[in-house]
Amino acid sequence: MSSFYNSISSSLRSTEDVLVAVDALVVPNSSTNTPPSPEASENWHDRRVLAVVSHKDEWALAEEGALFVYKLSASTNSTVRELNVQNIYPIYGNFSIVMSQMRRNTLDLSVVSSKTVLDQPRSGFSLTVNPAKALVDGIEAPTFYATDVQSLSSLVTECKRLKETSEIDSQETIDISQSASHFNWLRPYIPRAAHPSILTSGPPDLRIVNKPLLQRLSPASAGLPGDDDADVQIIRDAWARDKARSLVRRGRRRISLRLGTFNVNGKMPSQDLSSWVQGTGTTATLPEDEALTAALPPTPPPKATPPRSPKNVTMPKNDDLGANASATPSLTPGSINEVHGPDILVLGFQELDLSAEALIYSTSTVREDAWCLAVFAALGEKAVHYEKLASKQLVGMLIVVLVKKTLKGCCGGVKVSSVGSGILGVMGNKGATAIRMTFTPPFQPDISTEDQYAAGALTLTFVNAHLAAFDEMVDKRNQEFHELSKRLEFGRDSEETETPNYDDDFGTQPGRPANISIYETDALFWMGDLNYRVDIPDSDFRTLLADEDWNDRLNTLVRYDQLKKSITSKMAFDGFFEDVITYLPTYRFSPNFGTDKLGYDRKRRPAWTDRILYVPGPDCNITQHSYTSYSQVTMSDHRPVAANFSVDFDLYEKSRYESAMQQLYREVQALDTTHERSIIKLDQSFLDFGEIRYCTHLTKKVVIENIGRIPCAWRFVPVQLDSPIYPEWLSIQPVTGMILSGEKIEIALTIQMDNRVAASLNLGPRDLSGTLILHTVLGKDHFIAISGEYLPSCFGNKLSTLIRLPGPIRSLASSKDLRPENHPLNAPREVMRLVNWLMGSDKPPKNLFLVSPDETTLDTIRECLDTGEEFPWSPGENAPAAEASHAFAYTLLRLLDSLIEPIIPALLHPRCVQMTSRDEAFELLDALQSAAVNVWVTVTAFLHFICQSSEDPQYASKIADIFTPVLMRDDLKESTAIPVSPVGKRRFFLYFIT
Amino acid sequence: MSKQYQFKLVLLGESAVGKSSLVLRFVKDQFDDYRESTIGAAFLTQTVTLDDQTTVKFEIWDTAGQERYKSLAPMYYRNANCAVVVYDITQSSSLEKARTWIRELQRQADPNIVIALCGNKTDLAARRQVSQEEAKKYAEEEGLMWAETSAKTGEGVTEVFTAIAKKLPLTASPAARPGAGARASPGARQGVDLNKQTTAQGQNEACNC
Repeated sequence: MSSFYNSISSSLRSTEDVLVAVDALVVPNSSTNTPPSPEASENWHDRRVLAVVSHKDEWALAEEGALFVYKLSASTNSTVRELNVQNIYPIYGNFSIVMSQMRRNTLDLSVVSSKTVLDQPRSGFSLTVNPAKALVDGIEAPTFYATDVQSLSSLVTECKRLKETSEIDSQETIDISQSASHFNWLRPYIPRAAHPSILTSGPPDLRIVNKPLLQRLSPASAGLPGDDDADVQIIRDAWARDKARSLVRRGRRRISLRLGTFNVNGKMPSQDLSSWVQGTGTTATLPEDEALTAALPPTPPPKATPPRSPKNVTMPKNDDLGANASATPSLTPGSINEVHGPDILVLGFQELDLSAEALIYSTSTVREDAWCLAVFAALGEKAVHYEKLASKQLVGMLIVVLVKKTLKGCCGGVKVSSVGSGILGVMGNKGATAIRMTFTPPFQPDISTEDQYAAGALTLTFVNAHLAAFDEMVDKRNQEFHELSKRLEFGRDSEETETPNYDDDFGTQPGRPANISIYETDALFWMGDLNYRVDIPDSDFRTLLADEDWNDRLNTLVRYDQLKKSITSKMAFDGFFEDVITYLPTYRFSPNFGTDKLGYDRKRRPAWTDRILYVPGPDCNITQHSYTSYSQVTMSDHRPVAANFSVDFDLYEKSRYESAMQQLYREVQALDTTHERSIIKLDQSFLDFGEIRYCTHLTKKVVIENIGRIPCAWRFVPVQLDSPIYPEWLSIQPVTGMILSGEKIEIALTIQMDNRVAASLNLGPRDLSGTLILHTVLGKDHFIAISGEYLPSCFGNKLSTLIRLPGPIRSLASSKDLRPENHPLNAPREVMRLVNWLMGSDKPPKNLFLVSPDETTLDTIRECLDTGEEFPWSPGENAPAAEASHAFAYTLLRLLDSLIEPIIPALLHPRCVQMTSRDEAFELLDALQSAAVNVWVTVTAFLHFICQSSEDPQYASKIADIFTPVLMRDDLKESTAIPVSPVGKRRFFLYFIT
Repeated sequence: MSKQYQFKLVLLGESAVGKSSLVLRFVKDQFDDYRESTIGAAFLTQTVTLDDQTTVKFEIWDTAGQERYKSLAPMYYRNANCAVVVYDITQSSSLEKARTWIRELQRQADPNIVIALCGNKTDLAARRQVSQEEAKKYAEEEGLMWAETSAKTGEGVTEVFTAIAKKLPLTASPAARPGAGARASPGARQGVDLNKQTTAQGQNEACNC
């Protein structure tokens, strides 16, 4: 019996049994009567395992059998080879096998009794299969060679028995894709189905896999199930990917990257670039899972290397690089980073060559060489540890990838690409160059060197782009981004088209796209002179930029950045991430005249043109450690920008991942091969959330159990196509997935009654009942009724609503009972109650608003405001009152903050900051509505009072820091307005409280 | 030439009148004495052979009868070609509820919808509260098909669905009715499926990933 008997047996489903398994060698058809040479048995390429597999249906009435031919896979090490089905021959009709001793007369087994066979000497036999139908392709009758006579004879016997039991007419054609057909059970084992394209085509497109799963499913709603068949596949693929990864993961690996972008304005390197190239040190590689969750240790910046002139340094010769490339990395994972500095350094240059000739024929690499030399010079003493992996230049755009020499062996699959999008849409004055590479982490050294490259690789893609210039060309830049996204592609080389190990026998898969998109990667980095500008008047920009008092000014200004706005509005770079910008604009500097006091050219509005963005895939984490510009590099009209990243990814054996995937696919194959419906049971179909208050946070769980016999793919669907799946006050996690037979999963339904949701419910109906619909794909819609009663709150309203409340908001039966618009209250009752309570004690407690309150007390106070009940605490100087007063203070602050519009509308903020005196400030209040004036005056008078009573000289300014952003909140939606200095707003506020 | 028609059929009626049992009898010829209340909507298919040339495939939505889910019913009867409104002959209140459903269908469903009123549980005729005359008279007034059935014994079940199949306008183009959704039909194990579902099944082979 073959040593693979057990592994074959375990790969089958429960309805199937392996009856016999025999080790064999495949014999080329031309040499049927010649046994394979002895050394052939050492060659696993020719090794096969033949197995007779029988299937019994649910009632064990009928039995069907098939001969499976397994091939050994090349991708694993010599001790554990993977078996893959190469062909399947159903045993029926005119199926037959002919067994003969090699170099002897052919014996037809049907006339030879097994005893005769046994009596023959221990020598080789050939076995020819005459298939009734082969399920993989129409290869002519194959011949195998085997020596295990005993097993071979039982194989023949079983085949004969199964053929006799078969009731199928020999003339019947079998189409196992027909679910009612004979041999339908074989379908999961057919290699093509078992080798999903997910395995063979490299990383999937980030733009697709980064979308939430539910968004990738077909549109569906109650009674309109959508395209269930397509949905099954999407849910199944996502499930298998996740599960296979978690099954084979053997740890995490981290590599460090440094990316830099520099528009050099046609200059040759003339300055030390070490600050930009080296930056600060990056973190060391962390070998184990737990290391990743630990806080990143601060690493000291590398020892500053003395600036050197590039011409004093010789670049490492190519010969040296070649010698190193063949060396096997002998590093343990923990020491990948033994040399300080990034594992991979990627630099993008723009405007390397501004000459007109460069546009027409750029064959010279003079400038590329000069800049590479300068980069190595900038690496200083570390230069010897790095070498150039790849570069790509198009006219003025150059991208260079340097790697640590010790890691060179881990890097592979280098591909480059470039696209011009400049003049006429094709010239290279604008456009992008890109490099794609794989990084295969070394395994632990205790595994033999042969295995080191069997780890799953991380694919990295770097794009260096130069987009259209000028303030008003934002649409053109966005368009160029999309153009480059489409046109930047990498060629797929022949080795990849021919998928190793399995496709060689079955032919290549048709319809595969010829090229690889830049998005087919595990991580994408996109940098360059993207040329996005800032939509804010020039003078405002320069004034605000120079406002040293305003710490947060960059953040405020970046809100007007065209790139950030394009990302938010999904006009371009959708799904890309960019770290917070903490550096001054990098454009445009002028070397000599016409500059402002920060050194910017007066004729061009300063902008953050030079940027670094990234997209992480689902299988890796990208952490950005720095994002800086280097103002010391002054040779160009741009300043260079650089960022440090680390990428964490799974360490796993590639072949194990592939076989895990195949196994998982087999488990869920039944989803599209049987009639059977998946049956699930919900532990409850009615959830009552009871009374739901402002800020209620409550999770209830529904357990779904698969009580059927086949896996179940499920998803929530909305009642109608255009309606949401669940109401805005609820969230559901997960919303789609897969449950295997017998499995249970929990679905969490969480109430999210935040200020925004409360604001939409406060005047609406209080009954929150509804029905959620859980659709089992190819099955039933399950209803989950939810109910809850919303208790309205004075939090999350407009000021104009609060002053029309006839009493506490809870006693308002309907909006018809609101006070008439022309007879409102002078000020909201709730604000007055809080201020009155706080003013109730003669001496206010110290540090009011600076001490965090007890949240339960806060809830009680809010409840009293909503219901109109008396507060359980009276003001005074006793301990409980002093304790409660902090909660009252915070309630006041949060109530004001919850107002849908701030007391002083954003429209008035520019005027507020112009007020130069207390009197002017008070005059401005005339522009407010009377209720807002009353609230403003009441609150500021109270604050004035407590500031006067405080002994802390800084108290008023602390209060101003807390209250200004609440009472004079920025309108975040209105991004076209010119930002107003918070410093000025604070000054305005201080007129009232000091 | 053989023709296959495909129609969407929806079952409506008060809770516990036997809608799911009726479908189970029709589709699988089975009966459960203790069935749990349907909380949701189940999709099933069954094919009826009218003559040598014609088969009608029903795509059946069996809906929840509980009042709580009433607001979802329109999602299931929209685009339906036919509706079976079921009442329990031992509960006169269930006929009232059936009337309500019929009024709603007449008002809101496809104007060409074929409606059958079906009095279930004839095996419990001893406890009958709804007389045949009363129901029949109402059905005639409203222009509905009417029948009595017993899901438990199977009496009248196939006949109801066959009668509906015959009454449906077969002039429309086969298998291209508005109710014929894009879904493959995994049910209908013993349905006489003349136009075998090769297209739907074939799609499974290609992996969309």
